[in-house]
Amino acid sequence: MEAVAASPLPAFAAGDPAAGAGRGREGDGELVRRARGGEAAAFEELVVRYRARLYGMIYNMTGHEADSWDLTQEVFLRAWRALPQFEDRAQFYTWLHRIAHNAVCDWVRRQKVRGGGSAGEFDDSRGAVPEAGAVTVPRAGVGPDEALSHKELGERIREALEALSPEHRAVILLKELDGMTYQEIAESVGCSVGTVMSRLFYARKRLQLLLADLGPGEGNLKKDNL
Amino acid sequence: MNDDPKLSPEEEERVRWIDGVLSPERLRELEDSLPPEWLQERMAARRTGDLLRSSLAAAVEPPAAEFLTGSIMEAVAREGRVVPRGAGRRWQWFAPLASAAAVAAGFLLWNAGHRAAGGPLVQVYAPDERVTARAWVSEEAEATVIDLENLEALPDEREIRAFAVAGGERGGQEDAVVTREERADGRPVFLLRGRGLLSRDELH
Repeated sequence: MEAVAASPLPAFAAGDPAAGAGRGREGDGELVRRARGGEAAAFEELVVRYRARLYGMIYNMTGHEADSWDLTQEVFLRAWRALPQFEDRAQFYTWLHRIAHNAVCDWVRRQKVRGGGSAGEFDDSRGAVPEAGAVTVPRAGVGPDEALSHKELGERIREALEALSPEHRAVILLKELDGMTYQEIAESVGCSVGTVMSRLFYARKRLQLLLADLGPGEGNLKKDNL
Repeated sequence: MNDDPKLSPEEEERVRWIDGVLSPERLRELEDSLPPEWLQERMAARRTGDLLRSSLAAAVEPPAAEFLTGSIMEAVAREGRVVPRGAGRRWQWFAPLASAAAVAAGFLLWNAGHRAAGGPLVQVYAPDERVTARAWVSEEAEATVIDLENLEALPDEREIRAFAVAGGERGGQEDAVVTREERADGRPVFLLRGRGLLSRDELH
């Protein structure tokens, strides 16, 4: 699994009509318009454009590689079916993420029914050593001690995220990793901005408690940024 | 479902301040009277955000990303409502081909002995006599390439990514694997390889 970007969003915003301008890329709006007309090639371009971001989001929510792969496929197919209902004023990725959020919530419910506990607790792939370049693997050049620290840190953070409710997890990931605004998060998860802020407030409190033993020196934190 | 208490206006303002989205005017008003606990809370929130970003990626290319895209587009093609265009040809071949391959390649026989004796590389039997096959060795692909033409589609629900050929012989190995690939001109071909040449990932 290849980590495409460790930092929040790429410079071009999803759904921005000018996305990719100057890079020879067609904007989302035009691709969506063509895809709505039945042009599969345009939809394929959207799949290629957003598959990493969507898969990353789903993987961070589920922690399960195979299921994330299947869910990514399912979400794009649902999006294709729903394209005629897509409203031009919406941002494509936010709309896509809304579909993904619903699919992940369905997945969580199914896992609870099947496993009787929190989603993923029976998942053998959790905690497995990721492939090179995977999300929790440190970049090349770090020493063995630091690599171990990164891996342990990654596992701790995944455990802490898993302890959050799916609603809290989604909101904090969208804010901190995807860099979405409150409004975009609200549209993505289907709630009010006030609810987003409330979830963010309590999700942070809970995460801070769960990760309280990790000092500011962990995870390459920069003290001057605090 | 989550049932968080609603935030007070003061708490909402604090969240906005932590995230740096307060208006400049309001920020100036608050500057001189910020409660110390707000500063502590902002430090803690930033630390949490940094921890998340140091360990998780927002975008992660999925395993077998091209295959995932192909699978999605195959499913889209099954949905109908598709305008066939040049750019779409890359995936449109796959659904009927993958299905039909099951029939033809089910009767493939790897025959290294014949090759050594100047015989055919492979023997192909298909129930439809209109199907023709050509085979050649590709050093680049480290495989025998099988080019099948005039295959008829089987039901789309048959999902074939790769299949094993049983009973063959190749350097002492008794199995080979056939995978579908695409030529530069967009036409599909099948590659027959000894199992030992393939990693698990290549089968997906």
